[in-house]
This record gives sequence, structure tokens and C-alpha cells, in this order.
Amino acid sequence: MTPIIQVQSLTKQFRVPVRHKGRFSAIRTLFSLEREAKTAVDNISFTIQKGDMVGYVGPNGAGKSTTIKMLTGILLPTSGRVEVLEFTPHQQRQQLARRIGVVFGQKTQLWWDVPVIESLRLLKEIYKIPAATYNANLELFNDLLDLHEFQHTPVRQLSLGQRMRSDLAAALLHNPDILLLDEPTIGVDVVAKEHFRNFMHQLNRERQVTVLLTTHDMTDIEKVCERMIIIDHGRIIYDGLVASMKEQLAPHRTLVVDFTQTVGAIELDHTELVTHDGHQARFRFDRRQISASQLITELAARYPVKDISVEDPEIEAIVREIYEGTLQTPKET
Amino acid sequence: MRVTLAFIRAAFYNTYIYRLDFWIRFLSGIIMMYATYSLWNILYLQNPGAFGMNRVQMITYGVLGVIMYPIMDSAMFVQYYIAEQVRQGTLEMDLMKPLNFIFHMFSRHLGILCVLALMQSLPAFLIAALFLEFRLPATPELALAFVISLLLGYLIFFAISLMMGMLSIITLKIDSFDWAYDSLVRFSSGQFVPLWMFPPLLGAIVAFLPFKQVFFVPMSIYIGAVEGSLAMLLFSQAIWAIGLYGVVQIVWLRVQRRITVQGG
Amino acid sequence: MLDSLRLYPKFIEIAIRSRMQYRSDFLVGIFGVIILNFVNLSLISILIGRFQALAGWRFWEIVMLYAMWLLSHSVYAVFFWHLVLLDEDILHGRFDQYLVRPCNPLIQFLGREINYMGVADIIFATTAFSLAYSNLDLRWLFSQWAFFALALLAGLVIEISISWIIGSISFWTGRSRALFSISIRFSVLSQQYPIDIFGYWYRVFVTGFLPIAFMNYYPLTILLGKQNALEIPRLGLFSPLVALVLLLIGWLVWKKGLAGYTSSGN
Repeated sequence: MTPIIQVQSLTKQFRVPVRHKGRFSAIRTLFSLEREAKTAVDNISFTIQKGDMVGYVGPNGAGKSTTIKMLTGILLPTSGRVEVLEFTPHQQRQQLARRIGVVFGQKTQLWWDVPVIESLRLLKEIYKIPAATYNANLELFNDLLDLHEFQHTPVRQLSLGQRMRSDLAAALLHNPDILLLDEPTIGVDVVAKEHFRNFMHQLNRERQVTVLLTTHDMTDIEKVCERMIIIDHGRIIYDGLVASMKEQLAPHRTLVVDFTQTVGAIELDHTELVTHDGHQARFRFDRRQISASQLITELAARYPVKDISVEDPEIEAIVREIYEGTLQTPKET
Repeated sequence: MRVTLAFIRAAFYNTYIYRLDFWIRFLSGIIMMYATYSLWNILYLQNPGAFGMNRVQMITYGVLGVIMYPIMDSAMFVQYYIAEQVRQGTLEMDLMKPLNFIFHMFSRHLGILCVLALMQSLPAFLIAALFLEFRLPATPELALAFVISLLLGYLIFFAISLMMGMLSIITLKIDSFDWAYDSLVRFSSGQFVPLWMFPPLLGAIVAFLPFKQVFFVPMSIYIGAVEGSLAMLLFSQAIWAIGLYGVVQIVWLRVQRRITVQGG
Repeated sequence: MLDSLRLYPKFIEIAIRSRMQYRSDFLVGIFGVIILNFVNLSLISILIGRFQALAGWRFWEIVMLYAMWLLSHSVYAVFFWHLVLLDEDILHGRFDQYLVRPCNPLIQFLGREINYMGVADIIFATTAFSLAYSNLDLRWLFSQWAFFALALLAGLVIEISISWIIGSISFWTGRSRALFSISIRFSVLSQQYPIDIFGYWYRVFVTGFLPIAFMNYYPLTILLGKQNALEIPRLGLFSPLVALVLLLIGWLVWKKGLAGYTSSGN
């Protein structure tokens, strides 16, 4: 079966103006025309099959958005091959556009001052969506996204969560084969994020849409994607199943405890004390060895606990550890 | 103080980032100076008596208007800056900074003023002096008075622009109003045409507006076309500046109250 | 491309709807337009008051010069003014959104906005023109009216093309605002006054480099019988040609810019 997305040895370099250093650096820069190459994406390769839900993760500046732009044809690769739905994105951009949906997290594609439904009507014209499909999708969105609650509200008056849902509806209105999401939940509250994740599941069930989700929210990935690709400094450093990743690479969680009164030395089995200033202590533990609830019970029984929270490892921390080689990176395909 | 220096440094850095902008502004300034030079030359030949001053004085006046343009422009930037922040919805970020908002705006735009004065006005001044019969003030006193007047004019213009910017926080800014305001300012400031050329009615109206303090007063001082006491002129400018500053504070209090009530 | 053109009216429809959300805009805008034009004409009359004529152009001739430019400009302003904002769309990544849709990005961009303030200018310009026409005791033949209409159209295309070129430059430089403000600065001056008064090199600049003089000045020299004062009397007839050449350049610059486009990532 031909993969729906194929990326081979893909590289993207930008030319940025050189900032001179040293004496009179400012004046020299003013008069200079030199540029130097900055590699945003460095020789990456991966394939995605139809129906896959893949997370594309990495710290800021890792090259995620650049990759998405090359997949959609907005950006011309410096070298390498990319094929989406058997199109060469940069050369067949508008044809590809009919078959994909994109959500750019921080910018809405909808018209700002008019009700959501007006934007959707216009998109119907742009994508030449048959009336039957259009109506069916609106119904689906009413069901899954509660679209009817705010479809008559101008976009500028929507909450961030509602805006995200509207953008999802807009991106899926024309039944695209692929849905590309570039940081869709950034700045969105926890409840809305939950809705988003549920929606993704239902979408996959109903429509078999292939999804590529870029984010640096680990929980989004965990809950939505079976597979994840980690990119850092333009290079892929992990490509495999989410489940394996969690177990093998990021089994550690952090328990943060606030005490009602100053506490001296603490002892807690199966944990490693990270910091302790008398009022707050942080413990690192391996989830494979012991669960958070067990530790909480233990702590609460022995110490005057005011508040407890559990922190999952940040993707940045994991990535850093992978990069530093302190974690193994089994590259599965 | 450190804050101000930081802004100045940032403004210079910005110039290097947008080098093309810099060169474009610079070259257009030169063309404008040339155009002004030609204009007054031609008109003077046509009707020497119309000016009430000699040709070189007139040319100096006109070209000075172009030289001063970047400096005064920088005072106006604060208006656009605030309006832009409002439009992008990022004003809260500035308001949340541990800086007095007015001081922040002033420092930020002082940086821009330094850059423009040094890198646009100064070279323009030199070029004009060398090639366009542009003269220096007749006496050192006039030169000093000019500099003081220029700074006061800047402060006045800054205060007005700051107020306009603040008003844009609570009203909706529309482009055509911006252009109208801009042209009104330039017109009544005497930047292009000295105010005593205005017919009586217009002249009387324009004399009431504060904008003449921004261009016309310092420019008149520069070419020595001043009646009455220099000190009085500077003094009234200073009064304008202080008065406007007071109004700015009042407006700012009002606007702040409005923001906290309405949530911006 | 045809598909995209068919979508343009629909874009405009939503743009009008968007604008109508801001009712107070309208009145303030009208007010602003009145002030702007009033100020411009005041300056002209002040100068004329002192000098009777500027480079041989009398008051009503200059008014006609102004009105002619404003007629082309106002139509430009209604439909194309936002070319100034192209650098913003590119900078903020909004342009990416156009590229990801199956519709020509230029059409999408042009359809993003409509500025009905220009309509007030049209009214003002028509009034000013009629006054000038009668005060100058003109009686144009059909051929002259035809040329006038053609010149207006050429003026419109020239202004669109210049803005198109400047806007497209932001594909490379990321910002074109300085260029625009400069171009506007010159426009304002050149369209309201006979360019002779600004000296030889200025004339060279607005004829050969930033050809805004072809928008109203040169065609009007022919219509008012002033062409013999020029080095090249027939220059006004070339307006349509200049317009087409500029349009072509605009299209090429746009295409090239789009092709080399690198959006501001991360």
C-alpha cells in the first residue's frame, strides 16, 4: 500500500543576514549584504499510512512548522523528496489543497468579524463542496463540536476553545484525506483540550482521516496519537509508537508535595528526592515501579500534606535527554 | 536610566535589521530636500516679494522642514505604536510591565528619536549645507534657542501623540481619520509653508492649535524670522509642554480606569 | 484562475459584511475624508494666493489636476488600498492560509477587504472636477473625453501596479511599509501640484523611476494644451502604455516573489 505521506532525505535551509561581530559591527551590518545558511530541517525521512494518527513533537524552533509547510507546498524544500497523496506539494499546491485540511493554531482561517457559519458558507464555495456533504458535515460538527451553540457568533467574540472548534470544522468541511494540525491547542484551556482529544478519536472512527499533529504538549500526543515522531534541531531523533516511548524513554514522573508546616528529612521508598526546602519537596519516581496514588497515600499518612500534584516529564526534558544520549532511542519504523 | 539606554540600543539594532527601510527613507529625504529647494527657488524667481524674507532664508526654512521631519515623525510614532498594540491585543503586556507606562513610551520613542536624529537628520543636514545653500543660524544664540525650541517642540508633539494613542485605547481607530489628522497636523504646523503665508482667517485658526509649536516656532527661530523676545517664545513653548504633560496625566488616569473597568 | 475570479465577489460580500460591523467607522471616515481634501486644497490655495500661478498652472488647472488624480485614486482606494497591508499578511503568516486553499492567493488577498471610504473621495473629486471644468471654460470633444477616460483608467492601473510591486517586495524583504509611506509621500505631492515646480531631477524621478506623473500630469498637459512646454510634448499619450508595462512588471514581481516565498516560520 502506498503511504499517504512520504518524506525522504528532506532538507530545508534558509538564508539569513549575517550579523557581524566585533568592531563597528553595527555599521558593517548596515552596509553588508552577506547571508548565511541556517538549516531548519536536516535530512529527515518518514512515511505515514492512510488512517494513521501521528504526533510530530519537538521543542520550539525544532523544525515542526517548516516540515508542515513543506508538506502543504507552501515551502520549497532545499533538497530531498516529499510526496503527499501522490502529489508533489510545491508543484501541485492547489490540487493538493482540495484534499487536505490545515489548522494553524495561533491564527484562525475564519473571517474575523462575521459569524462562523458565514465563513463556512464561503468555504463551501471555495472548496466546491456539494450541498449534501456540506449539510452532513454541519450536522456532524453540531454533534461532535457543539457548533450550533456558537455558529452565529462572530469569530472575534469566540473564546479560544470555540475558535479552535470552529477552525476544526472549517478544516474538515470538505472531507479532506489528511488533516494537518500545527499547534492547535496552544493557549487553550484544559477542558477544551479534552474536547479536542475526544473529537480526534471520534473523527478517526468516523472518517478514517489521516492526522498529523504538531505540538509540544505531551498529553495531546499521548491521548490522540498511536505514533510519534520527535524532531529536534531539524533532525528526527525518535520515530515510533507512543506507548513504547512512554514506557521506555519517559517512565519518570515528578511528585510535588506542599506541606502545611515545615518538615525535616523525608523518606519515601522507590523515589529519588530532587529538592526539599522544608515547605515543598519534589520526588522523582519510576512509574513502572510504583504508581502515583500509592506514593500519595504513603505520604499523606506520614506527613502533614497540604497539596500534591504530579508532573509528567516535559517533552523538552525528554528530548534533551535523548539528545544528550542519556536515553536510548530505538528507531522503529 | 538604564531602561532608556536599553531602548536606545534596541532602536539602533532595529535599524540594522531593517536596512532597506533605512536607505529608502534616507534617499527619499534627499529627494524631498531637493524638491523643496527647487520649489522655493522657482517660486522666489516668480515673485520675490511674496516671501517677506530673502531667497536663502526661504530655502533654509523649507529644507529645514524636511530635515526635521524624521525627528518629529518619531514623536508621532508613539500614537501608531499604541494603536497597533491595541489592534493586536498586546497592550496588556506593556501595561503589565513594572514600568510607568508613560515613562516606558517616552524611553522607547526617545530611542527612535536618537536613531533618526543621528542617522537621518544629521546626514541630511550635512548634505543640505553642502549642496543646497542651506545656512546655519545667524548667531550662536539663535542656534541655542533653536535646539531648545526643537526639544520643546518634540516634547509637545510627543505629548499630543501620546494622548491620541491613549484615546485609541478606548475608541476605535480608523485609517481615514489617521490620514486626516496627519495632514491637519502637517498643515497647521508650518512644516511646508510658513504660517504667516496663511490668509488671515486660516492663520488665526491655526495660531490657536498647538502644532505650530512643533515646526513653525523652532523653524522661525532658526532662520531668525522672529518678532519680539526669543525668551518669551521659548517660555510659551515650555508652558505648552508642561500644560500638555498635565493633560496627558489626566487622560491617562481616565483611560486606565476605563481599561480596568472594561477589561480592555 | 477563472474559478478564483468567480469567488472574488463572494469574498467582497463577506468583506462588506465585516466592514458593516463597525458603523461608527463610516461617519468618522467621511469626516476624515472631508478634512483631508480640505487641507490639501487649502494648501494649494494659499500658495496660489501668493503666487497666482505655479509654473504657469492657474488655480482651476491645479484643481483639475488634483481632481483627476483623486478620481483614479479613489477607485484604487476602494478595491486595492490594502495592498499596503500585504507585508503584514506575509509577516503574520496569514498569507500561508491563502496558499493552503484551492484558490488563487492574489484573489484571496484582494478579496480580503473593501474600503468604501473611497466613495466619499469619488464624490469630492467629481465635484471638484466639474467646478474646474466650468471655471476653465472647457469644451471637450468626444475624442478628448475618450482620452480622459482612458487616462483615468491608466492612472488607476498605474497606482495599482506601483502598489502591487511595492507590496510584492515584502516577499523578499518582509516589510514594505517604508517604501509605501515614501511612495505615498511623493504621490501626495506630485498629484496635487504641477511637478515642474519641484525641479528637473524631481521630474526625472516621478517620470522615469516612480512614474506617478503619468497618472494625471502628463495626460492633463495634453488635455489643457500645455504639452508644448514639455521636452516631449506627446508624453501624455503614453500613459496607457506606461500603465500596461507597470502592470506587467507587477505581475512578474508578484510571481517571482511568490515563487521564492519563505514564510516567517516558528
